[in-house]
Amino acid sequence: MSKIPALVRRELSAFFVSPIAYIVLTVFLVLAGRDFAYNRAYFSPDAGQFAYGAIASLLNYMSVMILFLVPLLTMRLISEEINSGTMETLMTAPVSNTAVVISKFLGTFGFFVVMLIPTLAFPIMLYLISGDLKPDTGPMISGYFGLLLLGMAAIAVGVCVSACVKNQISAAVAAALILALLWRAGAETAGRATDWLTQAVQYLGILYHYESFAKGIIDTRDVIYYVTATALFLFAAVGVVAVRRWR
Amino acid sequence: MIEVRNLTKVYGDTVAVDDVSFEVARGEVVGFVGCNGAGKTTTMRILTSFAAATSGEAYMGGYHVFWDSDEVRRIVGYLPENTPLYNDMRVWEYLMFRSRLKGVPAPLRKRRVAESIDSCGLETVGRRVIGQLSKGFRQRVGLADALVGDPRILILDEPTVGLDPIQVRETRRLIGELGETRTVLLSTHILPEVEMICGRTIVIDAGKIVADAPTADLMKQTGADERLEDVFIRLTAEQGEAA
Repeated sequence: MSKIPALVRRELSAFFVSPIAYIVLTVFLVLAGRDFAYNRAYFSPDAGQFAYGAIASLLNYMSVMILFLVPLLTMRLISEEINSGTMETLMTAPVSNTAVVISKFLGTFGFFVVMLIPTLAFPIMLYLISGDLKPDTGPMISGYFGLLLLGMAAIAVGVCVSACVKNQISAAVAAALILALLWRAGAETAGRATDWLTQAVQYLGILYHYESFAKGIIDTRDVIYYVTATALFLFAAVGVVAVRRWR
Repeated sequence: MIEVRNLTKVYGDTVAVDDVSFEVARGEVVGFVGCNGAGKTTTMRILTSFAAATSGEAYMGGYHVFWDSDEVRRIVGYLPENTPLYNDMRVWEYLMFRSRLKGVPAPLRKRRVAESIDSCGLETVGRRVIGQLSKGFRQRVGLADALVGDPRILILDEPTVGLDPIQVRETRRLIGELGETRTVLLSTHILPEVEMICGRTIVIDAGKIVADAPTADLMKQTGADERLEDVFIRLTAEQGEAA
């Protein structure tokens, strides 16, 4: 485990020389900025709904984007190591499978945080332009906290898929599909989760658990969902790396 | 230092390594010779704890390659076939990273990296990005990586492939020097290399060991105008006929 800082640093530096990471960063910021600008025009400050509406919409929009952009960040993590043969040099150094998987996860999470930081400009702008009607800080803080948890879970899914699939494009598509399925599980059952089965399917919904964060509520059940999903997918990734190595 | 007992590795229907046993003593430089697909790389991967054997046992420095894989990886320096490296890193940065992974204590790291750069002739490219290096330099970065942890055992899979004649000579001299203080298992296709630097030769064919003897003794089996190459061809041909 003492090797994790060195591995995380390596992972992070790999992101900063990767064109795809810059593309993801640009697309994320441009689309988030576009959504913010659109909502700023749509919600009238006079109607008293501007501040809350703009930020809630932005948070929800970013949460959906994360599901589709994170797989582009995670697709190369382990599959590229396998394809280029560097897995052999990595795994013949005294590092554990767990350390490798956790470092990949933390390195990507580090880049994800870097990706979110510029979007803080939007709430700051809201403060500056909203006059006397200052926006409520609660939903902003909980919303960003929720985005971090959502990002964690999405990255864990991506790390796991990247360990399973050798081809990077397939890894991105498979991770996006899993995340989309988890998203739709919550969305399709919304408002009609009456029996236990539908409720169970709804509980799997990755954005269903984000809803309360965007409203300013931090519910421990939602936190537990994201933490459990992250732990499960990372645990599976460690298992896949071990099986690949020893089979 | 290296102890291999009845090692077998099966992939699906293919037996890549078939009941292989040998030992390498401390300070020996042993050539591991065989055709493509003979089982050299698979054996080396098992010895470096990268792959698991289907059956049999192997010990490196007394540590079991499966059960004590962390200790094995601590005492073994490995240069894999085709030298996989992180192309986006600079040579110095890569070796510092690898020295951290190999647990080199922080106060010693810079010195160890400098020494491995120096012994592999990488002084002129230390600040260059690995992806822009020639094959020869890449090979030497791989060798420097194998050395940076100051390992007791070196497993080198075709260390001179892609090097120019001068680099080949320097690398052979370096391996010879390393063999004075370390145990070296060296896989190669280049038989004159084995003649020059390996005190003992193990010949593997179709996953089985067909010869294991001091290189000088193998050379004695040759005729007046023969080289080790001829012995190798004869041994592997005999094995093919027997099969």
